[in-house]
Amino acid sequence: MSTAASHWVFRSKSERVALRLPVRALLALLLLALALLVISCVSLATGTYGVAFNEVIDTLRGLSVSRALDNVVWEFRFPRTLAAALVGAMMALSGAALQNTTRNGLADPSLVGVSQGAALAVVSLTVLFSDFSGALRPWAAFAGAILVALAIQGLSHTRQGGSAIRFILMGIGLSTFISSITSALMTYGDIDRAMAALSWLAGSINAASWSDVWTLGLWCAVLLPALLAISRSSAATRMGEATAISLGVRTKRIRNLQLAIAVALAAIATSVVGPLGFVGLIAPHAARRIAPAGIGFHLLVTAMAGAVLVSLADLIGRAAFAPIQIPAGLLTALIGVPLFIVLMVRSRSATSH
Amino acid sequence: MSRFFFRSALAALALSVVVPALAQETRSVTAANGTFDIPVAPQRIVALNDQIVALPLYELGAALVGSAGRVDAEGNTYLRGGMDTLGIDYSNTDIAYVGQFNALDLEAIAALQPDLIIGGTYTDPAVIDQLQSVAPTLVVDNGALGLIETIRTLADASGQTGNFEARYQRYLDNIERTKSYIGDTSAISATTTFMFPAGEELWVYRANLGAISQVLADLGFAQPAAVAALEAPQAPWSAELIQELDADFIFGFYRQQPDATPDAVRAAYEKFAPGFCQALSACRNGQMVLLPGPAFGSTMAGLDLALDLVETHVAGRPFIPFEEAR
Repeated sequence: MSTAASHWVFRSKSERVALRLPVRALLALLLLALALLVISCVSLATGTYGVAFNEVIDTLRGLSVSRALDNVVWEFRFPRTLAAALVGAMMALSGAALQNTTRNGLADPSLVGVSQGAALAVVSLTVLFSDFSGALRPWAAFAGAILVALAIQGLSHTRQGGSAIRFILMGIGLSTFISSITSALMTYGDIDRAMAALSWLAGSINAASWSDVWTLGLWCAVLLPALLAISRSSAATRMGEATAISLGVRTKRIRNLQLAIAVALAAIATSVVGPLGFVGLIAPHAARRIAPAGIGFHLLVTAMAGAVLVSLADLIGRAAFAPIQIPAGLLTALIGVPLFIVLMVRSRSATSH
Repeated sequence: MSRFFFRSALAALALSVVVPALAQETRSVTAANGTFDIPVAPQRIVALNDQIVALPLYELGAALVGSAGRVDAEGNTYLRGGMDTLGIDYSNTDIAYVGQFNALDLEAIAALQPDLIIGGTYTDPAVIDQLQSVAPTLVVDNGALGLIETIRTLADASGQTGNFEARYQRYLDNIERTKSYIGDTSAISATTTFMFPAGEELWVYRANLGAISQVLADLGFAQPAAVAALEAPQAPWSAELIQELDADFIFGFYRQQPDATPDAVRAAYEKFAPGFCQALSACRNGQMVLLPGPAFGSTMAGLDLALDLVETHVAGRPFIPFEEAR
């Protein structure tokens, strides 16, 4: 093991594993993890149900203070806190993967129709089918998201192969078309049923349950390692297709794989909490400005930044004006965009010096 | 003497054991979301909608401890239609605010330790599932049931059926009284419209606009052909087709929100369709009537008010019949 000025180099004894870790990114990752831990603790201790922090700790340790408190902590606060962090990480990772694939910094899950496809499926199910069960919602959202993403991918494909700009233009067009159908359903469908879809459409973590946490956690555990596993090849594709091919990367396969993972991450997150705007766009850029790093480490910092952003948005949304509840989806943009602008301005100043 | 105290203490102890046991007595009810065991006489009910659930429960005497509400421009919470209809709000009752109907605060509901929660098809199904861990949570499909059956269902769930049936019978008697004043009610046509002060959209209701729709249907009034043909209970109307709304009477509303004064709503109709009043004989003849907000509410008080207002305007004065609608 050795250290350089800006990197920490790790080699195993047989040198089968050799890592060159950027110190700044490592520190950023640790600080973001610490921030997430603090926000999660505050989130667990904060809520309309008045309770002392030590009682929350006792409840988490399995000591029952009261049945009502057990219910509040175990059924409401804990799953909600975990779901916020997981959803934030997944949306951020999706954005980062899409930006890598398309080599376009404006790419995010709404660009590939994931949010719009999920929204159309959920609103259709809610408004058109009176016996619709809430348990079906994640599946409907997931199916809607995947179908629209596949349609965009299929329509943007030509005989010459896929083109990033064609993919983006097709995404914008089809997403807008789908949004207009959703708006029509919301306006002209049964008003009571349309209302039921409103909180989900605003991106609310209000009703996150343990089954949601398991779903998010499981898929995160599968998709994040998969994204990291192809990160070296992805890094090569960022230098251009010709260079990547000359380096031995099967660009088409990597591009499709990255796209599939990005869509799956966003579709699963959206299916649980609804469309969360800006996280996928902001988090990768924020991570790059906080700590520039290689693609693998950038993905980890991005995931952590997304988790912090959505956790903070959810905490502020439910505690700042309690008992008035503001959906996290409304606050991610309110919190994220000013932070993003500050980071952009600071990085511009640093570049000009 | 000491034996008397001993016996009294024993009786009090026995009673304290028996009363909670009675309070736990449950029965099975079927709602839109399934069959549930609920207390026979619920003591702590939370309503997930103010106008549709909380107000009728309160006026029937149910034990309401919390309700969803609204937030005004200054950030103050209020029960929509509460002060207007029953003179109640969070400030002058023991009803606690538990969030907005589409942004509920689950912890605030849990903190009230309810024994029954009642929502509707407008409540997020995932939230309904979550709340089942707090107390049996019923979904009442007010759109499918209609106003009377909705209130009857709420009365049944809250153990207030007797109160409801007494008030409903009085309302039915009053309907017959009004019919006897008017005569052939099927010869009279009426259109129900809804306009916000912004004047951007005009909504026309064939049915399901709370008390006023119920009263007009119970009286047996006719509707213009275009309105009667609507598939949905309500539809946004084109300014170019307003003449299809003409009838003996056209009803609209004011006081549906703080800035909805009669003048503001009248101006909104004109803004939506310039020359609105001149185009419609009902309006030209002074038979386009704006009714106060509680008349489209979901309460028994709203029904009584709507009936009185319709009786006053239709039977309480002469009017010029609309020829084409006949």
